[in-house]
Formats: sequence, structure tokens, C-alpha cells
Amino acid sequence: MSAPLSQLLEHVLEGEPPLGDEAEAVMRRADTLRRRRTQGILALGAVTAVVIVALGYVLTSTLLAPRPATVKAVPTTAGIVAATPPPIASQATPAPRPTAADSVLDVIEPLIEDRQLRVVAGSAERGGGWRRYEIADSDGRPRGTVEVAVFDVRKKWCFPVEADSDKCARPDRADGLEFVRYDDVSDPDRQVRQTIAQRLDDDRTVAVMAAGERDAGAQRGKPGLTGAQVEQVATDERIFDAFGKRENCEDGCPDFPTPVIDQDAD
Amino acid sequence: MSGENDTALREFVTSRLPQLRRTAFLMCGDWEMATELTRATLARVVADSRRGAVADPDVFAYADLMEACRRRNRRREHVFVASAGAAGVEAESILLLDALHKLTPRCRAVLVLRYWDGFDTDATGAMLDLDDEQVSAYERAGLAALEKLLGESEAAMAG
Repeated sequence: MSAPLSQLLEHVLEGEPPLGDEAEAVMRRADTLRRRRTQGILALGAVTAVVIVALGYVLTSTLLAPRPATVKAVPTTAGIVAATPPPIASQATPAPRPTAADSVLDVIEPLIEDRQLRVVAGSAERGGGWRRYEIADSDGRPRGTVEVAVFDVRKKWCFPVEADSDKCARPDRADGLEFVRYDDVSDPDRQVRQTIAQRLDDDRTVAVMAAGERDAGAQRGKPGLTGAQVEQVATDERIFDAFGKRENCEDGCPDFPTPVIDQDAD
Repeated sequence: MSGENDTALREFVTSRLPQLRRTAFLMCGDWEMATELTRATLARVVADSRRGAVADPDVFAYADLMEACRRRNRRREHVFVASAGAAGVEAESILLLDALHKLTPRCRAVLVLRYWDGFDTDATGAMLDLDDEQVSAYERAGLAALEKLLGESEAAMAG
């Protein structure tokens, strides 16, 4: 049937309409097709670029989110750099150890241990608005105390000047804080390091004092913390947050060499 | 053909267009649809050849056209449209077209490629993505069915 089928098919095609300019139409259509494909590729590329940028933004913002416990360096009067954690640090601090539910101790103890000293176990004393810790060396010999107090000072308060109760000391500034160091190293056998710091937004004032052991010789007369470390503790937001909002140093308040509040004036 | 210029592509289009359009007509039974399918197929051949994606333009064109016809007309039954000025179309031709379009699409495609376009079994298989045995089987089945359908139609006309 193959030969007859071919011939039959030829008859079927009788009456075929003319082609006209069909070849040109094909070429124009090919050009249109190419343009559409190019536009499709460009659109796909643009969408891909947008997706990549969006993904990059999301990943970058996720990976570069602020770390909870960064330490900022702030200049001090003596040119020493003190580490001052940002306010968020107190929230991000690891859970307190079972033996140290004392936020003040959490700040002080690592600094003490860095100097091969230790806070005497069970020596912590506390009262309304103040804390006291006894320090010992590795042999267990006393090395003085570290005392921290918070004061609820009101307006018209200024940083005291030991030599003249009518004058104000010019403070240094850290993040949201002002502070002044008061170091008494006149007695080689017993030195005292003190810093008073005030938080600017609520006027809360903290005094930190590290005093060497009395009548124990020059070596043990050095405080458990250096002046820079005392300043570091006093400008640590965790210290401010360790006390209640209404706490004010009262009964048993440490006797600071440079008093925060002039008792005579009260 | 990849790499050849537009002149060569235009010559290819001009030379293949009439035959491809007839093939499309035998597949779909409508000159208007056949023209549209052929134009689309050749446009794809030209566009893909320009970017060097066509190894054998003839195989590409016929394979594309057969696939386009299959997609366009999945039904076996089809109402044929007589061409313009088709007054002279003989009744036998209409019967043949009708019988052809009562075949399965595969059988019809094999018969058109083998008996109208004159491709051998290998080329037909390449265009329809079939192996040689399948092409032969569709061809046998298509011829038998076509013969039977034509016989029935002639008997009906005689009766």
C-alpha cells in the first residue's frame, strides 16, 4: 500500500493555500523568540541577584547580631584601659554559681583570682546598701578587704575633694557614667584604692574601696585590687544592678577615706 | 548548522517550509493550524540554531513539529476544515484524511513521516523518540487500520 498511499496523500494536498511571505514571518518570530528568551534570562538573573542579596542580608544580620557580653574599653585618668561591660552584660552573665549568688562577688572574684589571691570563704558581710569581702593570699594570710557601697544621692551632690569639702572634683566619663579615683598610697604599709562612680541617668552612686591589711608590712599592705581594677569594678553596670533601687548605704556602712556624703553636712 | 549566518538559516526556512506545512496539515487536517505550527517550529529552529543548540535541523524541525501537533490535537477524532477554494477537493481525499485522523497519533505520525516525507525507519524513530521495532509495529498497525477504515468508508459510499 506504500506507493498508493504516497500518491493518495498527494491528492489530499490539492487546494493548498499559497505560502505568501511565510519565511519572513518565521524570521521575525525567531527574533521575537530570542528577545523573549533574553528578557527571561535577564529577569531570572535579576530575581536570583535579589534572592542572593536578601539571603546575604538575613545571614549577615543573624551572624553579626550583637554578642551579649562584649567588653568596651574606656579611657581612665591614669591612661589605663578599664573594661566596662555594656548594660546588657548583667542579663547575659552566666547563671551564678551555687556558692556565689552575690552579683557583687561575681564581679570582684575573677579580678582577685587573677592576682593569685582569693575571697575568704564565708567572709562576705552585707548590710543595707553595702558589701564587704575579706581577701587572703594563697597561703591564707589576710590581704585586706574589698568594700562596695551604693548611695542614693540627690541633687546638688558632686564628687568630693578630700582636702576641701566645699569643692567638687572633676570626674572622668565612661559610658553613661562619671567617676573619680581616690587612691591613698601615702602609707607604704597600708594602701587604699577607692573609686566613686555615678550613673548619669538615675544618679545612683557607687563607691568601691580595696584596702590592704593593716599592720602586716608593706607586702600585705597592698590591696587585693589595683587602682585600675577598683575603677573597673566601680564602673561596672552589674555593680549598680546588684543593689536594690531603694538601697542606700546605712547601718554598718564602710568608712571610706573619701566619704561619698559629707556626714557633717547632713 | 550552528554558527552559520542568517542567510543560511533563511535558505533553510524557505526550502523546508512548504514540506513541513504539508506534513503539519496531514497531522492536524487544518491548513491554518498547520501554517501556525510550522511557523512556530521553524522559528524555534532558527532561534536555537543561532545559539548553537541544534545538531541536525531536519530532525529537530520534524521532531518539534510532531510534538506540537500531538499537543495541539490529542483527540483521535477530528473535524477537518476544507481549504479555501476547496471545491475541487475530491471525496476520496476527504475520506483518506478522515481515515488518517481516526488513527492513533503515533500511527498517524509514523505513516506521514514514512510515506509522505519519505524518511527511513531510523530517522522516523529519531524524530518520534521510538526504536526501530516500535516504528515498524506502529507502521504495520497504522496501515492495517487505514486499509480497514478506507474499505468501510468506500463500502458506505457505495451502499
